[in-house]
Amino acid sequence: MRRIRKISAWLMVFSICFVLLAQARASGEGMESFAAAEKSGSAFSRYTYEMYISDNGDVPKGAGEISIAPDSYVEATGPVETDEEKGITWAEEFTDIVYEVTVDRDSKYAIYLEYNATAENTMFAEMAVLINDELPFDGADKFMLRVPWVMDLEFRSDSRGNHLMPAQRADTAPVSAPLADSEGLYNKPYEFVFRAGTNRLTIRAYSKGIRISKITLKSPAESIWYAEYENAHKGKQDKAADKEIYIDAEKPLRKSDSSITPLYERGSAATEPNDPVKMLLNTIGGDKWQLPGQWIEYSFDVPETGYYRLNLRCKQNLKNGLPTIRRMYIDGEVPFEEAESLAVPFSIRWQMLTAGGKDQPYWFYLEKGTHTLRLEVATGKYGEIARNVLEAVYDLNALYREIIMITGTSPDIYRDYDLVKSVPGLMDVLESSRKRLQAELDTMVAAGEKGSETAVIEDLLVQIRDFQKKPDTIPKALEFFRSNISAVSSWVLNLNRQPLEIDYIVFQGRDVPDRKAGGSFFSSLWYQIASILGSFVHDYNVIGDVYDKNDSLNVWVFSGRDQAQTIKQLIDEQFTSQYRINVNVSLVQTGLIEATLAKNGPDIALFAGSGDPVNLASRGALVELSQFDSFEEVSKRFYPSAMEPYKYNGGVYALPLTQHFPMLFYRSDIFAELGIEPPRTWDDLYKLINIIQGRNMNIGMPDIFATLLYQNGGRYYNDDLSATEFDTPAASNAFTQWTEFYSMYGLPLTYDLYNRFRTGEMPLAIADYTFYTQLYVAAPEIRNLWEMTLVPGTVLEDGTINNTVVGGGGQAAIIMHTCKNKEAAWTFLDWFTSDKAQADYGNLIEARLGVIGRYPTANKEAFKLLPTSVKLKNIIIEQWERVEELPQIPASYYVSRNLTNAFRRVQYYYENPRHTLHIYNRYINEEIKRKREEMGRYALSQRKGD
Amino acid sequence: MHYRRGKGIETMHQAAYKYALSKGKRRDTRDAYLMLLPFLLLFSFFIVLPILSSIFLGFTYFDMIQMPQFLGVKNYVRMFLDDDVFLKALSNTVVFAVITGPIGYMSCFIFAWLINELPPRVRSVLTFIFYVPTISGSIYIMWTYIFSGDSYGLINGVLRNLGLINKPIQFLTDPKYVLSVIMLVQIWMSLGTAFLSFIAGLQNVDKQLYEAGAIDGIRNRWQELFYITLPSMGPQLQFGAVMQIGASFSVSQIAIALAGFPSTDNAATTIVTHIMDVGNLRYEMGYASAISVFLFAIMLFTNFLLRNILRAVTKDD
Repeated sequence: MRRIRKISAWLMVFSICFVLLAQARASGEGMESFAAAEKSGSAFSRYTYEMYISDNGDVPKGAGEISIAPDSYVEATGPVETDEEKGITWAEEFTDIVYEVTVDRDSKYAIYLEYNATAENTMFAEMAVLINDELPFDGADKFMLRVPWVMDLEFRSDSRGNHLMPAQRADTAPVSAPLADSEGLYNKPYEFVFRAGTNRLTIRAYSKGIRISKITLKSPAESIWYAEYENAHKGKQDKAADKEIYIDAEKPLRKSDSSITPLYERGSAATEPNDPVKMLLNTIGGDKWQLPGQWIEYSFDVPETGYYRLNLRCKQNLKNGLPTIRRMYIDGEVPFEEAESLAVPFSIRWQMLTAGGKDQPYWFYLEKGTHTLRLEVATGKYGEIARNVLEAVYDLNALYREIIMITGTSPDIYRDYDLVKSVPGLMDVLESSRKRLQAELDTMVAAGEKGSETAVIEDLLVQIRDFQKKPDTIPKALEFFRSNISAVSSWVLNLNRQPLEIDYIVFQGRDVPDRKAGGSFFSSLWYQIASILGSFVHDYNVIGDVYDKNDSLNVWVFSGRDQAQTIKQLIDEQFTSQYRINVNVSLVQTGLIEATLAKNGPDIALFAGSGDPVNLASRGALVELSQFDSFEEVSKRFYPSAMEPYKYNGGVYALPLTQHFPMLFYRSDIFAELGIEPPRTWDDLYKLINIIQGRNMNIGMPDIFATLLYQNGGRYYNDDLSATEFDTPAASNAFTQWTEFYSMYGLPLTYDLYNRFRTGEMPLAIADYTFYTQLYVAAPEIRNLWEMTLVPGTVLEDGTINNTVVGGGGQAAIIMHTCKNKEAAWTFLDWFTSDKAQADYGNLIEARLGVIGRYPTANKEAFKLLPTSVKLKNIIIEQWERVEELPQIPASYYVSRNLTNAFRRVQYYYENPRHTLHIYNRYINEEIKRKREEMGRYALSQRKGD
Repeated sequence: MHYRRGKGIETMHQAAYKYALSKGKRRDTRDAYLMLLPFLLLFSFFIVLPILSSIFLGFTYFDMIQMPQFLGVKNYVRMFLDDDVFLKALSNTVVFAVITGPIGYMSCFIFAWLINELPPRVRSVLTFIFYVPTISGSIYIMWTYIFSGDSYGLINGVLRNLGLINKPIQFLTDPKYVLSVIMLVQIWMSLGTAFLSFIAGLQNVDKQLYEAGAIDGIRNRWQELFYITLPSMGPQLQFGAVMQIGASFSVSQIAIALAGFPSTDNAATTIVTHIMDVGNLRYEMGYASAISVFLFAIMLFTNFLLRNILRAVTKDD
């Protein structure tokens, strides 16, 4: 018995080990995204820059420089203005400006543009270039001209010693940049081929807001290796042996993006400057500085001519397994080839990076005077690796699509598909992909990088080899094949993200010793202790200056630190100076009710969820707003629908800050391929379902019941909000239509919209309109391949289409009944919801967070002032004008809950929709009745304006 | 234990009696109370006081914005007679407790017993591996990926590959499946503190008892288990029972993380999630307090029952 027990115990041990090992072998990224990168434009025609260069390998580099005067264009599709200095600006998006370029013989040139911003909040401009009216290669339509931003270098502090984020604006000084790849796949500027004779060069501007002052064609300078550089500067005068030049990284001269802001770093005792308790802005970068092309530039003074080495105190703890690369420019030039890719390895601690390595650092020869240093995100040799892997991924994806055209996405495992015969080139593609992937893997392994980073590629290789040996197992393994391919392409897309945080930069002479990256043990220890003790005394939730609670407004912001700081900044700049009311801003996550109960609550809460105001108002916790004089004017700033959720018992209890509503998204490239149009009515949509599903794709349909209900002329509640109107034909029809999407038409119940839209598996979907910012930021490869339009409508008797949609809630501003100075609180709300304040807030928060932070303001005019492209603004406003919002009642949560239950009952138990709705409607109305009794009997009567 | 050598040899009892009355004892007692004081303060403040206030609030209507209003026993009447969801929650919780409690408890013991055989190093490693789900706090979230209703979710993907299903099964939103899924995850997480205490207890069983038993005619492992091991582990078994089975009444985190809050058709609603729903979402803190008092009573009762059973098993006086 003892032996059996022992054996079973060891068996347990072994099985656990086995499971753990199997886990480690399994696809490393399998849990994440299923994104396949379609590198180029259309899914079926691809002509990469690499192909372009190899096709034109015999074309020599152009000689000399060709300068094109910006105002010498021969054609323009929109109004173009020339100013006195011969720079040009254009007034419309999508303007083509054509120039003629004449060369004696075929030559290759890179195109350098000198440009500057025309407004203080321009962040970048998107361009395409056509040669002789054709896109020369894929990627020529995705140029991003970044407009540098500058910020105040004197950091102000609030009354408690914390640094405030400095103000920043676009730099209107001109900057010169070549047209280059913005995804990090090619490290040198693009070179365009011009044929002998006259060529047409078209600059297609997708956005406006910049001015071009020079267009120059020249060949990029040949770069030299460090050995040559060293030779060239050998034996020169060195007066700098004991000199050190210190540059504070958080005070750049300028930076390529507004979103690269200084950071508060309070984790290390050796960061300069530092304080264990106060929040100081002492580093820069981190995950805000990671996209290829982003750069930060510094200005520094060299005290004496001589040799200096470069040391960087930095932290690279976000990219595990691979180093982060930076390209450095001194005075606008890369000094030598090795400086194209300075690599910072991964470490959870701060490190001191020496350019060239500690043993044999690079010695830069700097003349006395002022110079600039620019550090730019680059991909180094990983650019080439990424390119090659993407080639293989592209081929494998095409192969996958061909296979599923024969087998479908769930192949019959008992059928012999004989893929080798039915898919032409199957084995060839597998072999060429395998060779390519193996080559890249070998390159990485040789460079010493193994582990989790290369596991994804190894897995795919293993699978390909299996397929080559046993092609009839392919149908069974199709699912894993697909997710392996996705994992690899995800890997590539993440490869070019290079986050790095830097604290300071030093140029040091030969005799100056290296600085240490970390503090001594005792200083670190003391620092941590002080930090902990300080957290008991220093309030990190209050933002900015703190005033006496009793004589200022206390505002709680239910959002992130960036939002709270921006609001505080706006208050200091605009509100307090104008109205002379002091405001305390605190950052909170929850606890509003508890705090109010304990009489510790705020006067105003910002960004409360849309369901809260009615719940709070019905219990007497909020101040009614329509009693204030300027209420009429203020409410005109929003669409009437926006105020609907905040009405209760004849009063209005909140002002809307944001508003969300659904729109239709579709992949224009896939639709073009299939020869279909986006649906304008639901009937159109039904016709599309067949076509789309026939190609093994699908449609994304979220909870669309309310929209269907309203389009059918129904509504949620009756006039006095005492019961629902779900027993009407309109409600039954809407509910049946909604459930049939899934039960009858097979649309998926759960889906990852972002990934499926990207891969094209879900080329049509309804989603909240802010989804477009996610696509913009995180799906660059399909940038020009999708469109937004109105949600399908219902055809009415008179032939018109009802395009109403029901909004998806938003956030609101409320005044708590414990507020002592209600007039002042109203003044604040009036100011914060005004056009200017909302537009400023939106612009500031986007400058801080990037496009993903775009603010879905509820203010009609402010929306027009945000940096959204004109085309999108128009379609969004068109849908916005047709938005209705659901009224909120204290039992609202119960309505949505039961609708969901009814929906699921129909889906899982195949019950009759009409009948199910009827049953759950009864539960809903019982609860509504109960709540109304409760409110009537126990809640105190509403206090109007005390 | 001090006893004075005085007039002759006193019995232990007499000595003990004298000690109990002596200054030394009183001083020791006072020191003991002082050492308990911090814990007692915190305990009264954070546990006893909330329980008392819950009992009080259970008799009121309290929406957290205005002062509580006295209702008498109306909350309790409503709980049993007018609240379908509560009854569903009660049945779910009892099913949970009855299945995952004892199964979890027994699996704690079985695993501890099996591991006990192994050399100390291996035993520590394995203890760690089994205890990890409990330490890590929220790792059970990975089950949402395994059971995901997306056709690419792990189980759905495998089943589709095998050709067993066509449409993905919505494990976490379909009332048919969700309770079983949560019970599975709960059992997976059940190797908690009870497990650790069993391992310690098994180590501390006096080896001499085994030898004595072997001599006295114990023939196999089962007899050894019942006659020697279990009786010696009385305190640990009781502690484990309280922890394990008592805790299974308050399952809520896993249910919320996996099945959503609320779960479809209340299929996975437990008493605690119902309390959270009523108290936080519906602003009816008085009613929520009444339910929590009821839960408290159930747990006390179960605890009492378990101790008596275990007393019988371990023949502990």
